[in-house]
Amino acid sequence: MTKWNCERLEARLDDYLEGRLAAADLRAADAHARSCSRCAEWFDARCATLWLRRLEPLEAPPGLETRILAQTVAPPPRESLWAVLGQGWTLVSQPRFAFGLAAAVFSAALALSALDVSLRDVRAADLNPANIYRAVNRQAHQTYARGARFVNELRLVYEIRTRLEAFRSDAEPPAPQPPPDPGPGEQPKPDDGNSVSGTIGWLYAYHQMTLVRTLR
Amino acid sequence: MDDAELVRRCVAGDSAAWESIVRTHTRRIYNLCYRFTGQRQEAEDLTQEVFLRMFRTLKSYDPAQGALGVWLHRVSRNLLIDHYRATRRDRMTSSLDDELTHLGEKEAAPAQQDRQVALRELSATLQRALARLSPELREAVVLRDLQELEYREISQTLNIPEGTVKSRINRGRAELGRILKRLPGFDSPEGMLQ
Repeated sequence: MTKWNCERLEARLDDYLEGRLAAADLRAADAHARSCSRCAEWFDARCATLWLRRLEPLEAPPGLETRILAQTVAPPPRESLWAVLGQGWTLVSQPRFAFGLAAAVFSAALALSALDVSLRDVRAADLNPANIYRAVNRQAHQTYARGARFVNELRLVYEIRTRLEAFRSDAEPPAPQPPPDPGPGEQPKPDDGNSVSGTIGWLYAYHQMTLVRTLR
Repeated sequence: MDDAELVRRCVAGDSAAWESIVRTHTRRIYNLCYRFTGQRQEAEDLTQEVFLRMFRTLKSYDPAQGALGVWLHRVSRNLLIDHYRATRRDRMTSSLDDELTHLGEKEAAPAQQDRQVALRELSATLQRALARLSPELREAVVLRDLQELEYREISQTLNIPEGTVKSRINRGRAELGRILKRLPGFDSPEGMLQ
């Protein structure tokens, strides 16, 4: 085997760096390059080549090919109008959609009925915001008045109010009259039912009766 | 099917032919972009950009100028150079000292690691060292030692004579070796030499 020197190494530099020399030549060339200041850079280059060739290729990130294809392949052809309508009908004809639609219509009808709105009587002027506000305000007041009348006409409320008025009139002081002198042996009269304690007793009895009815 | 036929079918609108090209070359182009930029996300974006550009200019492919892979490398290389110029200002903020300190820290990790982790460490360290090379030397080294292109193919890709290709590759390797031997773990290459 010929001894390796600077001239020989430079003449076979590509083969040396690519590792294409025979094993014995490679060992000898390495020994020379490592010990020679002039050829030291080629020894560094050979080491770098060996390190680089130890690297394994990286895997492409998952989905990269798919993304590339999605960006480069032409978009699918447009669907015809009939196909789109067919898809819409398939959606609408499902029972879930029909039930949902029926529930929505029923709720809307209920709400309109409660607000006393008749769709037949709706005119263009009714859609004016000022008119809408006035109608809603009027409807709210009417609803409140109806509610108040309903509560006032309840038998219980009527009786309670009647009794309260009686209670109030009983509690008012009588017209000033000179008190007669009670004669000797004259006793005060027992309660005749029109006094304050009689009214409270009546209310208590009524309350008890209502409670018993409720419990039954 | 040869490259010319594949491209002809792509241009005619055969999506299966285009899918075949994408699936064959994506990994190599992604590796090239990653070795050039050192950033996975950037490499991914650039890989997509390469194929978009290729898709738009597929009609201009001339089989007489070289294999489809070489043409694709040339498209990628042009894009990478554009990207390198566009991002030069950002890269100038990091100093060599910072990077070398970081390299040393990475290599000081425990020696007994499993193979996958060791390879990942090696890859990251070499990547940072590669980033220290000038673009001309880096692309030549990457195309030869990582993409394993022949000198003739590199010459076609870079549009320079083969002699210049060899010179750049060897100078790039020597420069890379000088950077690496300053790092712990790379200073004693006995295990690699025969």
